[in-house]
Formats: sequence, structure tokens, C-alpha cells
Amino acid sequence: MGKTWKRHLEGYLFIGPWFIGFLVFMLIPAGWSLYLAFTDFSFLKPPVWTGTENVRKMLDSDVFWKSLRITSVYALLSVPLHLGTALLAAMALNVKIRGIGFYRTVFYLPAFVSSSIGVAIMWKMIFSDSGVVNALLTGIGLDRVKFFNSPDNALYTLVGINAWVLGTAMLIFLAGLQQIPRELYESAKVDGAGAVRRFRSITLPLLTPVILFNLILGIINAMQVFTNGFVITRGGPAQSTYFYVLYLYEEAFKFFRMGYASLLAWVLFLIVLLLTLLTLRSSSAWVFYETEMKGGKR
Amino acid sequence: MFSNKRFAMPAVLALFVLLSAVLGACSSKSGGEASSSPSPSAASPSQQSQEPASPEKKDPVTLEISWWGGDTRHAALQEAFKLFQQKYDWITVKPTFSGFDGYADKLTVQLSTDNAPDVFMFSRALTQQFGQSDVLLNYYEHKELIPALAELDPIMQSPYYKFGDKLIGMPTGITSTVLVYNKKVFEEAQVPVPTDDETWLSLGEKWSKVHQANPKVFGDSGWFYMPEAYPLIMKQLGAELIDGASNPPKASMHPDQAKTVWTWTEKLWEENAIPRDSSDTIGFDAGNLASSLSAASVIPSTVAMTEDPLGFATLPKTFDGSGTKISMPPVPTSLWGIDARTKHKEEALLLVNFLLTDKDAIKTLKVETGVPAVAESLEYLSTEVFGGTGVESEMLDVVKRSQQGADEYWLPAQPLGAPDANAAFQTAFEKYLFKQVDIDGFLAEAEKTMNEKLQEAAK
Repeated sequence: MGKTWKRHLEGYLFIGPWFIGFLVFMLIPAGWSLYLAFTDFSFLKPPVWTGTENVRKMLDSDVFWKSLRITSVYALLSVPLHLGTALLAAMALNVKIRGIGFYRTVFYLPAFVSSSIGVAIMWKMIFSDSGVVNALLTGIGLDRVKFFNSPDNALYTLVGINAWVLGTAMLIFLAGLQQIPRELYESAKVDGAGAVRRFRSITLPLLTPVILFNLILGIINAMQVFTNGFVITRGGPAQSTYFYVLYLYEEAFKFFRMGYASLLAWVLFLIVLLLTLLTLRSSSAWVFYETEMKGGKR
Repeated sequence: MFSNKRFAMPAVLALFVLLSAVLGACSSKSGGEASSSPSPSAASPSQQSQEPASPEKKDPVTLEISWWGGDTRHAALQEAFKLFQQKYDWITVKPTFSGFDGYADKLTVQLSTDNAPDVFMFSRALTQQFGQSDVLLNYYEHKELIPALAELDPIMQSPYYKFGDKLIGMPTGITSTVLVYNKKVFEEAQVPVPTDDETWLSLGEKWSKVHQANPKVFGDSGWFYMPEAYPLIMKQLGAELIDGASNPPKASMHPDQAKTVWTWTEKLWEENAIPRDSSDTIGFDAGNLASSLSAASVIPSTVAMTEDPLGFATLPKTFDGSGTKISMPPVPTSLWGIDARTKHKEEALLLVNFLLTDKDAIKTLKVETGVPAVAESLEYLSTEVFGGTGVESEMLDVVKRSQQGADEYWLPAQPLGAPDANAAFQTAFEKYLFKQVDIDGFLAEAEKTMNEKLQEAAK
């Protein structure tokens, strides 16, 4: 056995556990689900190949288009809101004061529990008709608001709730903010630039690579929104919060159409992939890298 | 060995693939213990009628069993299994239990991958789905080992238990939809409490009067939130929403009858006798609810919500007093299925029969899995255990009364695709409820989408 092979073998053995896990838990199931997407499979009977029947059914389905539209609206509203609040929080925490580490930890904590059932139930209780928010509203003489029990409000309430989970994006913004050279701000100050101008001309441009990263993560997460729609509203009222993944879940585990649900999963993957590629493609127009110079890279 | 570098990578990859395949294969259900494989034997005359013959060969056997529920149900079932193990000392029961959410998903995956427990609780909503395959044991093929079947068979002729000719679920408990009311609220409003002889119209009048007497109190929380109520009212008016006998099954909205029901309901909404959309500010616990349609099985937990005295009546048998009196028979709250591939069929049947008929088990389970389905068990629980008093006795009584006094007992058809069709109806209805469409739009959409689902399933 040659030295080269020995060296390779060691490498392969090191990546082996990961590779086996990837193969068993990702690649094979993903390949299998791609096959199932073109079958009629109800769990308890073997899959039957149906060709493009599931695709036809999906394109004809009002619910498919509706859930896609609801999820897109959710993503369109929640991603900017989420990024905005995370950036604001990061800027507020980008200061040198006593105990700043503690404050940063506190702001990050929700990220640990953001997608848990317990937190969803907490929100449900807070914004229910008899919850804390309505108690406060009625306490100051205002009418109750049906946050979840109205098709006009439910989706926007869920968008608002999502803004609370800013930990991860905030942390990435904070790291980005700390990479911006201090001297740029000092020079701008000397030149008489105010806080807004400094933010617009220094912070924002130099933060665009980080914004791009958070934007892509935000889109991916928003398109997969599930827990709050499942736990708090069950997709209602009147299907106003019937998110795409909730539709997928119900097709798979309520109606046991695993073949059709597999197709929905692949379509979601393709949609997210397309959105990610479009975002990356657009980045050349608005993302500024420090190493870039007009007319080409340095 | 692989001195040629070109072959190194593919060879190692092949090794990984092989390992993965082997690991995957290992995940399927292992053989477990040796089967006791006792030969079926008929009950000897000396044995009690409700007790099957015990398997002759008594090798140790472990039965895996799963169910869903709350803490009190978990405790009661575990206690019942202890009693079972004492009685059949060669059998060990290995329980797995959880809440309802996710239970059905997990069970279905277990069944599809041959990893299901030997015995498991399942929801009546899954009977048609599970029945399509042969993964559940057909109780009719093992009548001799489950004597309770002879008594229960007449009530188990619905699609909640059977798929075609196969009986795949045995109920330890049954329930009926009943009317629960707050006696205090009716008394304060000086309105007579609902009785078993109400019609929907007379009940609606009482709801209105209660609300008029005290505008902060609602007559009912919304009859339409009980999924069985609308098909029943329509049937009482002479119309069936789903014709299960036609091929493919057909949904019809019957606009005349439907408009009778919804015009009546619109009036109640306008009067605020019942809220148009659900609100968690209305309830027995808040003291502002006069009555509510409810599954009898949750009566004990409903009673625990309030200190006000609650009463119980059966659902109206007619809409306006005319026509045939129609009720729904009780439905199973908890069905027990047996994996057809289990190596311990007889022990599994022994366990199900034990839960249904053994007096100690009945005493332990009380009403945790619903009202006992076997009449003798119900009688024992009612008289010997509860002594004819207490909320549990009232619960048993109202379920019994639900089975009396009607000219016809009827259940909605449950053809393949019915759960889908019902979900489609619900979607169309919610649009009407939230004023996104009018009554004609609602009925048209419901009929169209329900039929699409039924036709699709029939394919």
C-alpha cells in the first residue's frame, strides 16, 4: 500500500462518518423522495408510478397556488422586517458599555427557542382574544382585536411575531458592524457627516455582504415557515395562514398522499433555489465588497 | 491492495455505500423473541363467556403497545396492563405513549415500515386509510379469541370500525355528541333548561332568550364547530350531504334544506345568541356560556372547568318537530388495532379482550377511554364503581340516552376521500363564516370541491 493511498485512506476515514450520515439521511432519502414525487404512495401500499399526474394535479390545485401566495406574502413582509429589527438591535448593541455581553446574550436567547412549540403557544396566549395584549387594549378603553381569529389579521400577526426572533441575524450583523474600520467614521465625522449620513454612506454599503447573507438565510427560512401556522392558527381562519409547508405536511400526514407531498417538497426546493440564485445574481448591483474597485476587482 | 489511485476513491465510496445499505437494513424490525405460536383453541365450556381460551404454550412474550392521551389516561392504562400481566404472567407489556399531536403520523410510518407496536390505539378517522392495506389484523378472522366481539358486532357496522368486510378496530370506549348546559345561566335567565326532547328550533329559541336576559351570556358557542352536527341536521331535514352508495360517491348541498339551516343560523348570529366566529373569551370557565355541543367523553374535564352546575341533554332529533326522529349512534373514542404481522396475535387479542371485559380493567380505566363499549362493562361501571352518582355516571347516562328514543340511527357515509371532502367543506364554510362569500357561493364551492375530492379518491 503506497504512502499516497495511506494518506488518502486516513482522509476518507475521517470524512467517513459524515459521508455515511449524508448518504443515509440525506442523499438516499432525497433521491427516494424524487422518485416518490412521480408516484401514488399512501404509506401503507407500495408506490405506484403515475408519471406526471402529480404535477398536473399540483398545477390544477387552487390550494397549491393559494398556499404559495400566502407564503410569498409572508416572506415578502417578514424578511425585511426581520432584517430591519435585527440590524437595529445589532447597532444598539454595537457599543462599548458595561455589561454589553449580557445584553447581547439576552437578545440572542430567543434564537434558541424561536421555533419551539412552547414559544408558539406562548404567542397564542399573548395575542388570543382573552390574552395579555387584548387585556391591555380593553384596559385603556379600546376594542379587542382578533389577532388570530380574523382572516384579515392572522397573517400579519404571524409576520409581527417573527420579528421577535432576531438573534442569529443580529449576531451576524454585529460581527459585520465590528469589521467596519473606525477610522472611516472618524474621517466622516471630521468632514461633518451626521449620524444618518454616516449610516447611509459607510455602515450600509460596508454591511451589504452581511445583508446579502442574512437575506438569503431569511428567504430560505421564511419560505419554510411552519410552526406558528401549525400550532397557533392551524392554517386558518379561512385558510388565511395556510403556509406552503403546512399544506405539504397535511398532504403527507393528514391525507397520506406521500407521493404528492414529495413533489411539493421538491417544488419548494426549486423555488428556494431559484430565489437564492436570483438574489445572488442581483447582488452585483447592490453588494459592495471592500476589495472591489470600479472597473474590476483589485 | 488499491495501489492504483484511480480506483481508490470509487472503492472507498463503494464501501461506504455498502455500509449504508447494511445500516439501513438493520433498521427494519428485528425478529425479537421467539413466537409462542400457540395453536388457536376454542373456549372451554367451563370458562367465562367473555374470556377467551388461553394459549396453551406459555413461552415468555413481550407485547409492544402504544396509545395517545393525557396523564390520567396514561396512568390508568399502565395500571390496567399491570393487572393484565398479573393475570397472564408469561406476557410482558411494553408501553409507549404520547400526546395526540404527531401520534398518527408516527404510527402510520411505523406500520409502513413494519416497525409498529403489536397493539396500538388509533383514531376512527384513520380506519378507512388503514383498511386499504392489509397491515391491520381483521378481528373477524379471530372471533374465538375475542368473545367481546359477539356482543359488540351489531354496533360496529359503521366505517369507523370496518373497511369493507374487515373489522380492524375494537373500541374500549364510545362517545356521543351531546348538549352540555350551565344550569345556573338558564335559571338566572328564567329559561327552562334544554331537555332530550328539544328540536333545533326550540333550542335556538332558548339560546336567544338566555342572551336577551343577559347580553353578556351567549346561548351556545356555535353548533357548527361540531363536525357531525351539520350532516345530522341536514339528514333530519331529509338531505344527505354525501351519497356513499353512488359510484363515485357524490356530494350534494341540497340548497333548500341548507338555506333553511343557515337562515336559522344567520338569525342567531344577528341576535348574537351564538357568536359568528369562535372566541376564547366565551366558555363555561368564563361563566358566559349557556350551552355547548360536546363529545360526552370530555364531560369530566368540562365539569372540572367551572364551579357552576352543568347538565346534559341529548342532541335534538328533528329540526322543527316534523319528520322522522334521527340520532347518531355512538362513535368509538379509542380503537385498538393489531399489527397483522405481529408474531403474538393471540396474546394481542387476549389483551384487547381484557381491556374490553375484565372487571378490574374496567374499574381501573373508568371513563379514560370513553364510555365502555361492552354493555356489561358499562353496567358494572355505572352501578358498581360509580354507584349511579357523580359526573361520570351522568356521562354514562347521557350516552345511553343518546341511543334511545329515535326512529332511526344514522351515520354520515364515509367513502374513500371523505376526510378530504369534509376538509373541503370546512374551507368553503369558513369563507362564508368570515363573509368572504355569500350562501350561494359557499354552497357552490363546497359541492364542487367536495366532489373533486371524492372523485379523485375513487380513482
